[in-house]
Amino acid sequence: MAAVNEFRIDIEGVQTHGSTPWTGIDPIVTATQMINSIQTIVSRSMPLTEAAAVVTIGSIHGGVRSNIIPESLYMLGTIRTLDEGMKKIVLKRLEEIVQNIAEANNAKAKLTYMVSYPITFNDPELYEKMLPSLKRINGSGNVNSMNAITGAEDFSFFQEKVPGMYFFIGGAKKGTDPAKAAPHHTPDFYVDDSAMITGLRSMTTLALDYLIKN
Amino acid sequence: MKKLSLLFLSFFILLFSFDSNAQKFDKKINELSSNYESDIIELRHWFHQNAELSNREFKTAERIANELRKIGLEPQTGIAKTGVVAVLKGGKPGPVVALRADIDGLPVKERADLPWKSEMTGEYNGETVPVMHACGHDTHTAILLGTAKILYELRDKIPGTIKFIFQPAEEGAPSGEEGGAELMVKEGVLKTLMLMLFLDFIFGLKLELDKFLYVQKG
Repeated sequence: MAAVNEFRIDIEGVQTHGSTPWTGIDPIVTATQMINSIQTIVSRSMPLTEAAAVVTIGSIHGGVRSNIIPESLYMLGTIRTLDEGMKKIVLKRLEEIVQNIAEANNAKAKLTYMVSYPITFNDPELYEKMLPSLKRINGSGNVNSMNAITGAEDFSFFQEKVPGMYFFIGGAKKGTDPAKAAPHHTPDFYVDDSAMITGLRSMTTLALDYLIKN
Repeated sequence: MKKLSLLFLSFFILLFSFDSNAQKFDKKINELSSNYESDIIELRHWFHQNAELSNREFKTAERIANELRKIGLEPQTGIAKTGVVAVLKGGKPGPVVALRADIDGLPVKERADLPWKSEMTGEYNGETVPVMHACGHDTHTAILLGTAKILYELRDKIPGTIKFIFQPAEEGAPSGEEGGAELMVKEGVLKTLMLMLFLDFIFGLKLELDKFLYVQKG
C-alpha cells in the first residue's frame, strides 16, 4: 500500500472588485494554474514503469460572491506513492510548482504537509514463510496475490520497527458483484457478516503458526 | 552415504513434525471459530452501531477492555489516548507476536437500511457530523477480540506471547493532535516485539466470496 502525504496550499493575493481585476492579485486564477501544473507531476515527471503515483486536489476553498476577487484561498490534497525515490520527486516538484506559479502571478503561496504515512509493504521473508499457513487454513485456491494499491495505512509505522504482514479479505455479500460494491469511506460501504469467520481463522492461524515456526 | 541419508531422514522427520505440529491446531481453530462466530458478529454489530471518531473512541475502548477482561486478560487502557493493549503469555517460552486492529470510525452518514445502522454523531472540525464505520474497523475490532478468545483457550500450548493491539485514530488524529500507530510506537507499544499482523477487507476486485484472501507480495 502507498505512502500518503497530505498537504495544504495557501494562496494569498490582493482583494479587489471583480470588474477591475488589474487592481488586485487573483488567487483563484493562480490556483487554477497550480492545479493544472500539478497534473504534470505524474504525467511528466514520474518514471511510470516503476510504480504508480497519484496527486489529487480534493478540496478548494475561496471567495464569497461573483464580483469580489478574494484575498486568499486554500486547497487540500493528497499524494500517494509506492516508491521512496518517486515520493522525493513528487515533493520537490510540488514545491517548485507552488512557489514558481505563485511568483509568476505576483501572489504568495505556502505549502504545508499534514498527515504522512510511510509505505505499507509485506516483509518478503515473512510473506514466504506465512503464505502456506493462510493457504492451509483457507484452502489454497482461496488465497491470491495482488498488486500494490494506492490506498494508505498507518500500519506502516509498526512495520518500520518490526517485520509485518498485512492481508485483505473479500467482504462482499455472496451472490453480489464485488466490483459493484460501495467503496471504503462512502455511505453505502458494507462488509458482510459471513466474512468474519475467515478473519478469525486466519488471524488465529497466522499467530500460532508463527510462534510454532520460530 | 549412510550419514547423508540419515541427515536427510532427520530433516524430513523435522519437516513433517513441524507441519503436523502446526496442523494439529487447525481442527481446534475451525471448531472454536465456528463456536464464536455468532458472538463475534454480535460484537461487530455493536461496534458498528456505536462508531466513534479518531481519538474519541471512548465507548469503543471501554467495550474492548470489558470484553478482554471477560476473556480473562488484563487490558491496559489509555495507550496513545484511547488505545487498548492486552498481553497473552503462552504456556511455553517463545517469541512475541502482535495482532493489531484499528478501532475508529469516519465522518460519513450511513445510508444502508440495517438494524445495526449507525446513528452516531461526533464533532469534527468544530461541526457536529454523523459517524459511521465506513472503513470496516468494526469488523477488525470484533475479529481481534474473537482471536483473543480463541488463543486464550489454547494458551497452555502456545510457545510464546501474543500482544493484542487495539489502535485508535488510523484515519488520522484531529488537527493539532497526535494519534494512531505513530503515537503507539512512540509510547513503546512495540517493545520486545518480533512481528505484526493485520487484516483488512477489500472490494472492487473481481473476486468471488469463496476466493477471499489477498496477500500483497513485497
